[in-house]
Amino acid sequence: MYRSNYSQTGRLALRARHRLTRLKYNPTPILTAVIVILLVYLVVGPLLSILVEGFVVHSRDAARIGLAKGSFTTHYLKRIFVSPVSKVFFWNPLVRTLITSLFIVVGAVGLGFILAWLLVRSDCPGKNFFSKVLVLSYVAPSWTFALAWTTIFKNRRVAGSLGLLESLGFVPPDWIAYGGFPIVVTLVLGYFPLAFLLFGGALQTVDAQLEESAMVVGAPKSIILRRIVLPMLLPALMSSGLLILSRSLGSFGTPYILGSPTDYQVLATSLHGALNRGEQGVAGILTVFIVLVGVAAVSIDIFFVKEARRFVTISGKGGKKTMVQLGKLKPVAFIFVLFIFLASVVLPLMALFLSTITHRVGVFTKDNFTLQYWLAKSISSLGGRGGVFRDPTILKAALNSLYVAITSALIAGVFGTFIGYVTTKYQSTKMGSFLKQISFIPWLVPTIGFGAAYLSLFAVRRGPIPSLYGSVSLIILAMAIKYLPFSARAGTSAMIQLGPEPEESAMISGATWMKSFRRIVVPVLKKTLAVGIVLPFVMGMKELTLVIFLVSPGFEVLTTQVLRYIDYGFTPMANAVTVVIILVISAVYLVFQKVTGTSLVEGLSSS
Amino acid sequence: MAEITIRNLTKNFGKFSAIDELDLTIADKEFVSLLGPSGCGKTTTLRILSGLEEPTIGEVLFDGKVMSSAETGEWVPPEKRGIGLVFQSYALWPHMTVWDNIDFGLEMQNVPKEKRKKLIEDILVLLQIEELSQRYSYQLSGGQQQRVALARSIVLQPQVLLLDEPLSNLDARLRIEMRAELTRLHSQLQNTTVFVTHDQLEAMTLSTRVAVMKDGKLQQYAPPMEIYRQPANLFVAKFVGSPPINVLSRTESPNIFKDIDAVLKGSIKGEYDFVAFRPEFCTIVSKQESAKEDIFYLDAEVTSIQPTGPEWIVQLSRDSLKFLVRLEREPIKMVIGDKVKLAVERKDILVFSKDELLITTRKTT
Repeated sequence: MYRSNYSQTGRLALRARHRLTRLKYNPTPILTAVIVILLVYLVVGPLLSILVEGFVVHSRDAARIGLAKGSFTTHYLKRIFVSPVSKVFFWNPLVRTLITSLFIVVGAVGLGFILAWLLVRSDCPGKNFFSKVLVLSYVAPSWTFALAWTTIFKNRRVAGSLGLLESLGFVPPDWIAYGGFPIVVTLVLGYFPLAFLLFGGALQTVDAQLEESAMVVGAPKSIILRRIVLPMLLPALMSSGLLILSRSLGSFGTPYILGSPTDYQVLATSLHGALNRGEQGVAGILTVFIVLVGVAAVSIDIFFVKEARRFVTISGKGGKKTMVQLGKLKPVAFIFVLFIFLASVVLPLMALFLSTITHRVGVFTKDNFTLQYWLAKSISSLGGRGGVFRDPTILKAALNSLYVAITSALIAGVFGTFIGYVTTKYQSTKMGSFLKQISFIPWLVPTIGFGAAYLSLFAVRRGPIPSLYGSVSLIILAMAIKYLPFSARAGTSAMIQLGPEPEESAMISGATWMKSFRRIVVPVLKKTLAVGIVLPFVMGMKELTLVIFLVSPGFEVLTTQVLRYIDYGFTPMANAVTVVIILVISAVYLVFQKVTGTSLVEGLSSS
Repeated sequence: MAEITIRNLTKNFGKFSAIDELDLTIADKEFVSLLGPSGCGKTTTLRILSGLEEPTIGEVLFDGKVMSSAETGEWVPPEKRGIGLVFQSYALWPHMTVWDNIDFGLEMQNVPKEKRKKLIEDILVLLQIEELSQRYSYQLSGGQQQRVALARSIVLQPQVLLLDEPLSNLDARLRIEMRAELTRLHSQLQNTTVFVTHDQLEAMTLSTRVAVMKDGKLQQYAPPMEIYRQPANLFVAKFVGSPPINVLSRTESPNIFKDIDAVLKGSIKGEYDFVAFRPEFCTIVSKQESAKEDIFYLDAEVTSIQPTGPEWIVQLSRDSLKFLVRLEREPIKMVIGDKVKLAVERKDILVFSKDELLITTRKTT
């Protein structure tokens, strides 16, 4: 210990001065502070806002409740849970949500598992082809299947053009055309690729040597499957189940299309109804409920994935896989896989497309074909509106979709990359895990809840921040934050792979922080940034649930336009617009894969 | 070229003390190794020298100028310290060629373009990597990457060169080659060099002085041979030297110590609880051989005989203790299981106190 040359205050002053010097050389702390403020306001803010809405008296209810506007109340809570209308608003939808979700999860996980096993572990013919195409359906908007179903199975409950079966003379009963059954079937077809990818990945990484070791000590094949392989698949099972559960909870488009005609309500559509009626308090409670359940489901999943880390094989080589010989069952397996492929990829798209070029779907006579839905200036059966390429509304909606998707993608990509950068700097600290968790929240929250929450926060002016009600900025902002987790995670893993040392080397060589960031960090992150932008773009183009609360009459996007057509009963037009969306997304996907060599599909369905 | 002064350096991460009151002075042009097991604080010390980390207590000076001071909060950023740093992972920039990697620092220091070309060409020749200048890091082998990392840091003619375990990712043969390379570079360029390693052989062969560290504390700071022959404590004795030194403790082997006391009688001042002797100072004699004066004998059984080429390494065991003996010529006829005697001269026995510190005052008779 040696004597100090400075007085107490002298030392403090010096320290303060030198502390500021550090910021000049490494402004990361400033960057972090800005990011934290933004994240807290844009991620936690909306959720808090809608939580408050559920417990605070709104002006239109003030008289009825007998309390002043803005005061605390449990009125809405009671209305949801115990009032005479709670059955309609909450309990029935809850039961229906739970039942459909249960069947969807079981169906999608089961189907995903069977397909994964057939295509990864057995000698089923056409493996390579099917593996690639079965996930294609995930590129389409989730309600594509609902539209296709309606096109095929609709009856006279919904006015407008005839359904396929109707044109052929069969009238489907209500329970087939609408309600729980089609919701379950369409969402199973929509979500099974998720389970398929997860199980496929797990099956591939289960080291063959694990099974071989069991064989060597004399275990029969059935025991190996039951006691070695299946337990190792448990994490994939739980993961896919919980993720699909969370997705189906927040899904809006499909239940809306298939449930409305018979008033089959689920929580998501009930929430939509509440907001449409202006019942913000009720909407608040519903959102909180949906969010809590969704977050709980994903949190359980994350917990299990952590547990399952111990199952990850430590050894280096994957080892050759021993294929199960199907023998006599080969043709059966092939037909099964082919059937699923047709049902989940070919049939829906064909049905959609056909309906846009025929008067009556399913009738293949020459005079039945028409291009009016695409090219006509004015279609009488649609009240004088034009075809897809002639209707100015659609063109405007398309431009709006592109504008919104591109802008939000850029914001999400850049913001996410910065978050990834900063998170890695604080990797093993509290700040690091805080950043990780908060930037992950938008993904945890069911989309319908997220949209409602954003509406709630930005509907009115708060302090210096103006109201964004009805503006494009609100949609862009909500989308950017919703997709932030993807870019943030991509950015984080890229930065972790790079490590801190390239930057430190640059600084030692004399580069300032800015130069080092521009010349070393950014070039290396280019590819990650690209994915972090294109992925949100694709998701933004097909997003319906998030924007449904945020669009206004003057500003529609392609997806909400589809919904308007459904409301009017113009199914062919709805289908045509959907086809356009799918084509645009597919084009982007293909170009991106060609240019960078990476597949977006894994990213789209990644957990 | 600079003299490095480390004064009262302490670095804490929360409750954990990575470096504890380190005092060290490295003279100009010296090659000093920081040697110790993982977690002993050597890399942290290096990072504080570089400016990438800051001390909790204490200060670091180059040529008398303060680089980091915990008391005043003063901190000179890495880019202004005139240092070169080679990471264990090399940290080559993956999107740049070898040439660009080396050029980057020169550009940051605003060296004029024509001069840069010459400097880079010279350094490529010096490190024998001229043909690699247009390659990317993933196209290089480990040894080549390491040369590029070295080139990148030396080209700026730093006053201080910091190397963080630069040889640990290389295979044995390459490591020997690079050791010679580092020595050559140091004699030619004469930078003050601080070299972090856990490999005692590297530290011994490369350094002018070695600083042995354990748990954040300096154990001994001396030229290599002094560390080897006069280890300051039992830890240093055990850590340096391969095969490792043979150790006996009074509490574990009270009976054997009776014989030791007899041999060492009168020559040691004060109490001692540990003795140690190097394998190369041991010989093996048959059980029957008569005892000579001033030689300590230990009865033991042969458990393995390993010819390594230039010598034999024989392992003997007694009770649960194992001893290694290094013999230059063919040992006496023996097979595994034979009962023999290990013999060590009194003058070759290192003696340590209860606190494991070397007892140096001895009468040599």
